[in-house]
Amino acid sequence: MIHAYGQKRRRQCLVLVAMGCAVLICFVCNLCTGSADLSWSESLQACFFRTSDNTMAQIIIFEIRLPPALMALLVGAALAVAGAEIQTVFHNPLASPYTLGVSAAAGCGAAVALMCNVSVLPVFISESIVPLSACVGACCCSLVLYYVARIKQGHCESMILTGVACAFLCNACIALLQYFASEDELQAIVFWLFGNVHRANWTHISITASVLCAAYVYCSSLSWKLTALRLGEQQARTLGIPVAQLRLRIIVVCSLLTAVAVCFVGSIGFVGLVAPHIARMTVGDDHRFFLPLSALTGAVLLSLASLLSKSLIPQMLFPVGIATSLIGAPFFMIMVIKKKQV
Amino acid sequence: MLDVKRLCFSYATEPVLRDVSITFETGINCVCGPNACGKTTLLKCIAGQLQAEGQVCYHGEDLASALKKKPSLIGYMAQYHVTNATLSVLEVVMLGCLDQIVWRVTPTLLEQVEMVLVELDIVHLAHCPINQLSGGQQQLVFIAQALVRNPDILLLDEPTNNLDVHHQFELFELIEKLADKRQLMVVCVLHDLNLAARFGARLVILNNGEVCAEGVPQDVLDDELIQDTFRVYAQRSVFQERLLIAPYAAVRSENGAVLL
Repeated sequence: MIHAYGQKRRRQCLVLVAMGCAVLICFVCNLCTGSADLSWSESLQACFFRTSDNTMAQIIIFEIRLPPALMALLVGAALAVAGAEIQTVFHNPLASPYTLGVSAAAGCGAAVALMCNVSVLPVFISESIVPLSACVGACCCSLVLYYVARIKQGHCESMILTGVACAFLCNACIALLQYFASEDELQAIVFWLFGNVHRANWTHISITASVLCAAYVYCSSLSWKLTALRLGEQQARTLGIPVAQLRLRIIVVCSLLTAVAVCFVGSIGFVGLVAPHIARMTVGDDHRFFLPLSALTGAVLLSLASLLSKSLIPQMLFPVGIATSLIGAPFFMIMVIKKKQV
Repeated sequence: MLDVKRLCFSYATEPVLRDVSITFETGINCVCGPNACGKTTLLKCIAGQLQAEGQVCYHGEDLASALKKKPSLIGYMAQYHVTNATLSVLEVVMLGCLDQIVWRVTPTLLEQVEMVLVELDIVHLAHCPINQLSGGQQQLVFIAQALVRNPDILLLDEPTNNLDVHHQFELFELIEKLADKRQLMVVCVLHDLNLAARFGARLVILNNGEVCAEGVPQDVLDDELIQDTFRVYAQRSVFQERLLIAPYAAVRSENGAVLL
């Protein structure tokens, strides 16, 4: 039996390594495609051999393509980790960062900022005001959730219903703002809501990366408890897990993670829902493997979406949020139909 | 010996346990009573999940402090519920030793799990996903989970739910064997009076959060108690020195309405 368990673990590790390779491949592909007229060989050369005769290619790759490519990886991973944990603590396969209304609230915050005339302010403020406002919106939603969780002692259903109500409320606010917006503002809001990784800069990347790392390490340290929570609330309690407390902490961590991920790139749906499911179908619920695989799957999905958004229509970028659902949904349906139990 | 002394507990303002004092001994102790009489709450209070007034002592020592010294003192199986976790039986049983696992799964732990699975005769299921097992098999897996930490006290909450008659008896014969072999103290919440009478060394009857009878099943389960507490008319008989109870009608109030 020990041997068989070892084998299963080796298989799980292998899946992780394979997904890691997939992340690398997607990342490199992402660096090698774009609107600039660079062939694959030129791009690859510029990536790995830095010589003086390909400075132009280097600039294109490292200054134009690298930030969005990195951002796609980070945001994909962040949304997937948040989705994985939210599904775990709510015992609900439909839960995701979106169900809790966090991203809708971010959208609402962004819309408010986009409606204000920020061009009178200095550039460094006007540039950061939209993400900041989105983040404030998302944090407000998290606070509401946190207090409901406190009052209701982490009761699952009330939390999900509160989240859904928050999402509806924020969407109504967004619609209202859009109704009163001028043509330019409306376009800006709609474009923000589509989700786009091409706004990314190094500040965004470093903030997202550090929040993702912190959240990941925290969740990872709770791996076994979260695994036990999958057996249901009652059973977890009998194993000595303080369920309500654990749920509260995870909600705080995950909504912050979502807030940060969403505020820089806009609403990118689906990754947070699908990536954990794909991970669960392949390695099961052991969080030591489930959590990293979710993160890697999320990174791959968003990178693929970003790749698709660059290459579907030549010379044109269309929002990555749309591409995510376009490739994610059919793939997910196939996974569900062919579902194999671990 | 587990002494429950003057235990009181209420959810919000509704008192669920009122001044409950019981002594449990090694062997199978059954706790019976009508719905909502506080059976599960009693188990939760013993397990330390709920903070109740009063005291629970294990061999003269306060149970809470005994649990701090040895967290594996109690194995607790909650009421049956469907699980959709994608975990193998092996992994589920392993989680019973949650406090021993840091990150890696040690070979010692795997051996411990294997021993329990062999003991319960489900070792062939070790690598099956839990969500594909039948209700009875899942029940056995959760008992294995409660047993894997080698507890002195085993708390079972309606372990025969969802089991057919054959499996109910198989399960209880197993529990009886385990209690004997490991010198376990089993506290088992049950609805089935026949099982309680057949396997329980001691029987406690709860009603409205109070202990209304305790002792050897044959002495406890008389006609009056069955009518007053369980509100059924039953035919009692004795077979192989064990009590058999065949309920045949619900007790009605004077105007003929069923008492609910």
